[in-house]
Amino acid sequence: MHRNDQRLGVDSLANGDNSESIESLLQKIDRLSKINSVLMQRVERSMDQQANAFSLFQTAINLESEVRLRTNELNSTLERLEQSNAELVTARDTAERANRFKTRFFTAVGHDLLQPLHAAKLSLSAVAETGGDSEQSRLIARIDHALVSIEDILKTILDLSKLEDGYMKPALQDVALVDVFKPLLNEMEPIARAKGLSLTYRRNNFIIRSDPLMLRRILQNLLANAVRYTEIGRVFLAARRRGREVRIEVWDTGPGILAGEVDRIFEEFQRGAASEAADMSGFGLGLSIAQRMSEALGHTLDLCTRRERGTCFHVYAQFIDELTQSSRSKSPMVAHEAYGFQDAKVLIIDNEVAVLDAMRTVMEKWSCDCRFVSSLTDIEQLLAAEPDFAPQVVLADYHLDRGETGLDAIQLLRTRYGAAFNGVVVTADHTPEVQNAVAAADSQLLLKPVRPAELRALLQHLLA
Amino acid sequence: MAASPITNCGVRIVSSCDPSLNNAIAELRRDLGDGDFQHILAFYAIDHDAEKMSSALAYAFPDIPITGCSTAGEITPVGAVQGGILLVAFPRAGFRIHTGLIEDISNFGVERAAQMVRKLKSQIRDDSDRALRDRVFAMMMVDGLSNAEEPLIAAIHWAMNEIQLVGGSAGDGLSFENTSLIYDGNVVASGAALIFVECDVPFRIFKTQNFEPTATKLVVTAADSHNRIVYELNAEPAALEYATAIDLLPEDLGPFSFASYPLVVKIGGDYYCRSIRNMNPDRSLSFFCAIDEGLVFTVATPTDIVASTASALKDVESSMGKIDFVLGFECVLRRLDAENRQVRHKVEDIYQRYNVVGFHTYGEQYNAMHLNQTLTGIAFGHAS
Repeated sequence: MHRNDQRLGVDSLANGDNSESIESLLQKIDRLSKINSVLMQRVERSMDQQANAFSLFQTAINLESEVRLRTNELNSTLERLEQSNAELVTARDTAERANRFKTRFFTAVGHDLLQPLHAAKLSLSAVAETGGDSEQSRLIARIDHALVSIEDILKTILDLSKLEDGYMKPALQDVALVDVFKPLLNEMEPIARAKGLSLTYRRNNFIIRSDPLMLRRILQNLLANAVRYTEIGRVFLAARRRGREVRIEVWDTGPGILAGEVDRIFEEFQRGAASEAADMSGFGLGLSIAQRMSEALGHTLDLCTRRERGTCFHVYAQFIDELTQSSRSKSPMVAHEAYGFQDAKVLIIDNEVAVLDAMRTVMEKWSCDCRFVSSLTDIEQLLAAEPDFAPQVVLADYHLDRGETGLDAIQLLRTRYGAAFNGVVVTADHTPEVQNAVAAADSQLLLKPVRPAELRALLQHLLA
Repeated sequence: MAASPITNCGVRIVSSCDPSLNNAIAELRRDLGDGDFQHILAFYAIDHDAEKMSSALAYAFPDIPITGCSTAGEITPVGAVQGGILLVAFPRAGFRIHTGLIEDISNFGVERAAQMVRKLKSQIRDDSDRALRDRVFAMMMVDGLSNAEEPLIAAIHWAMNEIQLVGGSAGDGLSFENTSLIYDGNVVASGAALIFVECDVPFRIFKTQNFEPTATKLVVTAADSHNRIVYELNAEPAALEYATAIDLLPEDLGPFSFASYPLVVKIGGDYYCRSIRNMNPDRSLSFFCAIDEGLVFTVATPTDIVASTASALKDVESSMGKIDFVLGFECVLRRLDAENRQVRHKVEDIYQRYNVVGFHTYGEQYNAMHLNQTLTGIAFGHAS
């Protein structure tokens, strides 16, 4: 541009033509103005980096717009966060509601199913005791087996609901492992034997910190799975000291678990792919319950597995002591073979006619002198009609009609007979509230469904 | 002159235009009453001697700290006046006020200002759930002839973090000789008072301006940036070139023409006013704010001041709810331009509608910036 301007000047001077010179000067001015305006724009755009007062002002403004920009960005991010937060809260609430509903649903269904199951089992045992041919006995055994399976499933569902609810509170105490291992092995051994498996355990003297019932349930589930998924070989239960812990091990020679499935097998209703071909009986809830109970107990549950070789589940519990020979206080349950109860006086209270009928059959077989009532009014009528009938045992269902409870019934009878009879409350309600209330009423608790053998053992104990 | 009613938040605003200092103070004393005030802001005309004024105020309100400055006009509850005194008294309830003085601001160090800010911030109670910027703001009054606002406010801003600041440069009724501050019973020259206000009621900091650029550009070709003097615009004597650009004769230049044709600079996409303070005998121009050689000025013309002011206050109200009162810092050139256009009474109507009080400045501070030809302020709302 500059050279061009000079040339323009030179040209116009060389020409010596006045009119042309003015014209070119005007052009020059136009160009200069244009250059000037371009320069002005250029200056305007540039950032002055000198640290004088004006540049401070300029910096302040740039900062100001930067701050505004960032504030806006932050605000919109915050808004988005708040929105997604609100959505998450809604989703969580919905999920929690659904979960609570599911838990309540399972609990309710479980209880409702246990009642008729209770009646069915009582009736079945009455049928069994009428004798009959071997074909009939075989069918009865099959029905009984089916009922026991249903019962186990229902209990599992109830347990799971309680775990979900945070209901199940472990009662931690010192537990001698042998007291858990032995009965468990006795119980499982026939099942294993039926499959041609060997089920053994290694003796140990460990005392650990645990809840015996929950630990039993954990090991029972692990053993049941081991037996279920193992076709050939053996299942082995052992315990080893690991520093301040005891590691309980459940070994099997089953198909193993695929690496990708290890995490999933603990979820409800999941069973290992290797098990697809195996016996499909039972829910896939066992491991899930074992894990939740372990968590509640503060035990760690893990496993190691090798494809086609087998799996070993580990339960880690706090080591307390080793049992010495003298400290063993094993009092094996004496199997009572006596049949009748020599007209023991038993009052049975239940609002379910089916249950009362089933009970009547069973109790009559056991030579009990029974009265059957279904409400507090009935009791009052009975007391008036038969003032001489002083029951030795009162068997009361917990949930009666019109909001009455078995405890109310026992309470009523206590006003008449004091502590002269043994109270037994029969219930499908597994909650600690009921357990505590029963204990407070100085009565025994019998959980539904009642196995006849269990009931007989209890009666024997109470009448002894 | 009658006192304004007490504001909803308990702040009491009184003014007097009595030319006798004693009468004026007595009137203010009487109108203010016996409230439990924790701090008084005072804005006064240079008609009153600053020393006498400071003593008289200290005598009239012995137990109340007073911070104040001279003005180029006072915005009182009954309208804009010159030659008056305005007192804004903050009650003890609902406010906690912390003040500090930065002296000798012409020779100041960044650290001195930051230290003061940190000291005041440390006095803020931290027992509230509300974010700091929602419960605390800062006000500043600064010597309006110190030529030091930009570096000062930059230094203060570094230490402020989220706390917002507004303020005004003290005036001297357009005589450009001497502005003053009153702080803690003393008259201070070349100083800046910093006032942190913890405020229980909601508040908003705002800024409004009214001009639009024309096509005319002026390049600063010679200047003394330290003293804010421009000698040449477009390689011509500054006053001459400016007068030509706005189609006036140089001898007709004065505050009204400076107000009507402000010079603006474009930074970051926005225009900011760089106002001319006065024309010097050598036809150079003195400014109210920092300038520099190579700076491109754009000549601007004011737009509708009434509409823009009303809309700014309406926006504040829609963001916060009903305005209780506004403490405002308005460039004196805005007042001159409104007077020149015969719309001052309309602006005052708006001010009275929103209870705007404050003073006419030689420059406004708004967060990190020193501005000209704006109205900045704090709008106080009603407790929710």
